[in-house]
Amino acid sequence: MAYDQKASAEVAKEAIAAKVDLVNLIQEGYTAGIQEVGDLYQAKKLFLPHIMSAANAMNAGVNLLTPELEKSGKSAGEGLGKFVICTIEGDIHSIGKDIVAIMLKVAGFNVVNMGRDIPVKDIVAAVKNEKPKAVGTSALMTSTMVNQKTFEELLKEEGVRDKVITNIGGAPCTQQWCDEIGADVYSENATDCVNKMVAKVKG
Amino acid sequence: MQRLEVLSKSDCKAIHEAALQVLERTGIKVLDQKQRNVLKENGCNVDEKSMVVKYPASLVNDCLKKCPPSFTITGRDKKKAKKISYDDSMGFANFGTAVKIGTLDDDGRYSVRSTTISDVGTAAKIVDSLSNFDMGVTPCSALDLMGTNKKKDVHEQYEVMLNFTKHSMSDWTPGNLHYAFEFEKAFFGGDEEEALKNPFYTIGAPSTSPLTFGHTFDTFVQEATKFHMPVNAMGMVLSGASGPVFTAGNLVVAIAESIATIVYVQCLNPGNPTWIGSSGTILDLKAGTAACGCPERALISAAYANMGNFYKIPSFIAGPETDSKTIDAQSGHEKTLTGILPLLSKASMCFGPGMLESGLTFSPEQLLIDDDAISMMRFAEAGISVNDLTLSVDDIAEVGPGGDFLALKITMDNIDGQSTPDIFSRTGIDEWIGAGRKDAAMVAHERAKDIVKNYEVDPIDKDVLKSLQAIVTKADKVQ
Repeated sequence: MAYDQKASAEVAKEAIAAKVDLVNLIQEGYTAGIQEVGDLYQAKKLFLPHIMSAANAMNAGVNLLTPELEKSGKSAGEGLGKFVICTIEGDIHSIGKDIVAIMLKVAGFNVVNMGRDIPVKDIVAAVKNEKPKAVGTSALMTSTMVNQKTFEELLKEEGVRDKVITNIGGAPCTQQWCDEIGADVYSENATDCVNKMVAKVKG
Repeated sequence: MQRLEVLSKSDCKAIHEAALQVLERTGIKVLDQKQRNVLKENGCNVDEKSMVVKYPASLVNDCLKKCPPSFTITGRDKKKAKKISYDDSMGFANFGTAVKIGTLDDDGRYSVRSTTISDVGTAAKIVDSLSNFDMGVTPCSALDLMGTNKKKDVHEQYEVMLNFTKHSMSDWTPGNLHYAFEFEKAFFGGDEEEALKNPFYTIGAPSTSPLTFGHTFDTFVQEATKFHMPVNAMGMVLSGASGPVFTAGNLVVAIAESIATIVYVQCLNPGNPTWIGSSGTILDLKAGTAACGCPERALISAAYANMGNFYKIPSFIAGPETDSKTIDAQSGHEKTLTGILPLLSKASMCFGPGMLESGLTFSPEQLLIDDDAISMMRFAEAGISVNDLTLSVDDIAEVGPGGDFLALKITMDNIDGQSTPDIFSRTGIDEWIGAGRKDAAMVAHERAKDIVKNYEVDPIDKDVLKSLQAIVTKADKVQ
């Protein structure tokens, strides 16, 4: 495996120039490749650096293909559905959240990574506008974890709590906290998140 | 015993110079406008668009020299104040701040639950009872107060104040340090000058690696320096994730963040007591976790001790820690590994005792086991005293071949000079079976119960207590 971003982008450019079926390229090429890496990760034959490098290589190509697809009104599909993810208001720790975002993408979610320190009202707005199947919030400090509770409350106030599956994570979070604030899914780490969320959306 | 050098003097110099290069070439992203203004006024190169600040080496070196090489830490009991010096032996603080507590029941069943305000007081009380601890850290978080109309941090620190008499590194909410100062003033009859001279709290200022100072960081540094509280300039880099995969590279990023923190602290309040601190380790790239009981963490902490000595600034690092989920062989091994290296490197202060599960769980039993381990490690650190008395040539002559040394007066006089475990067992197996086959965890469990029931923390003067209660009540009214 080469994890070569440059080569990945070159393939995308060549495909665009040759007017090949781009949806097929994404599904049978890039997605199949990352899923193979994901399977090897699950089997503990490959590790985080491999999966992050593979994701970077995939993105180098897919980011060139996506605007072309949009121009022709096509899409590579929603996969398991849209998953909005961010680090919650007041917290700027993003590495763990970014690992989870990549792993969810590998698993087949259409991930919208909002970034870090995202105001609770903006996450609620994203739930309304993006209409995701799930929304994940990460907190690394007890002082910001409380905003996961505020988020649950605001979703209810805005009448959209039942429209989305809520997922929480980050070092200080626990199943007990998840239960207390009324979130749907607690995940201890990226793999746990993928396993639980795939099961959840598949019902 | 001679200071252990996991970094030679030339290694320290190389890491310092590499960190200076990082600060001059790459810089730090400073999210707070006020902080960028202060740094610009003091000679930093600031790019307002990217928010990246580049630090000239001359400013960094000047600010490092402004840090006091020693200072005294005190809590509400001034008799227990301790002078901290960059070249002294390592002190110990308990671990904090946990979100879970591990408890053993009388049958040895172990369970874990979220921490409450009551746990904060109980844990602080147990730490107060142990003489090996020179200061404390807020042991756990009052998760039961989270999202209520009570000011969680003010209630936590009130509980700590009731149950703990020494200095502490406390887990305040950013923007609330004025309550800490009000607590201090209450003990000095409202005298601000005395409160400024005798801060009860060290404030941790962790950057967000790699190379980012967020708003929380900024608020803590501004408030702490305003109230003359010692600041712990902490690097918390994870090798392979928020820093380079190599331990040396981790140290370069971490030291760059620590010394850039020191620049800000010393620009705001020249001479402010400052620790150079570390909570760095690896991201275990196979397990996907931040490992706390690994040899890399021990080496990073020891390296920070060496860097503290190089800079002549007291160091405050991660000490006895573990990734074990329970009290077992893994926790025992990892605690000693991560405790002994920084101890022999003569860090100034460490945190860690009482912690399980990579920094998430506090265990009273583990705290007492760690306390026993600290006594052993300190004994080992003291080394072997070699002089005419201890070489014992005359005593050897007196006993002669085939005799014994038991009945000598010098032996009797030195009974207490031996290491004596408090929790660990050195009896024979039959005696151990007769005493109920208790392992260290169960002995510690009984000791913890006894402390909670019988240990009395020095009470707070009635008038002061009323003032503290009034501060808590006032804080709760502010929304």
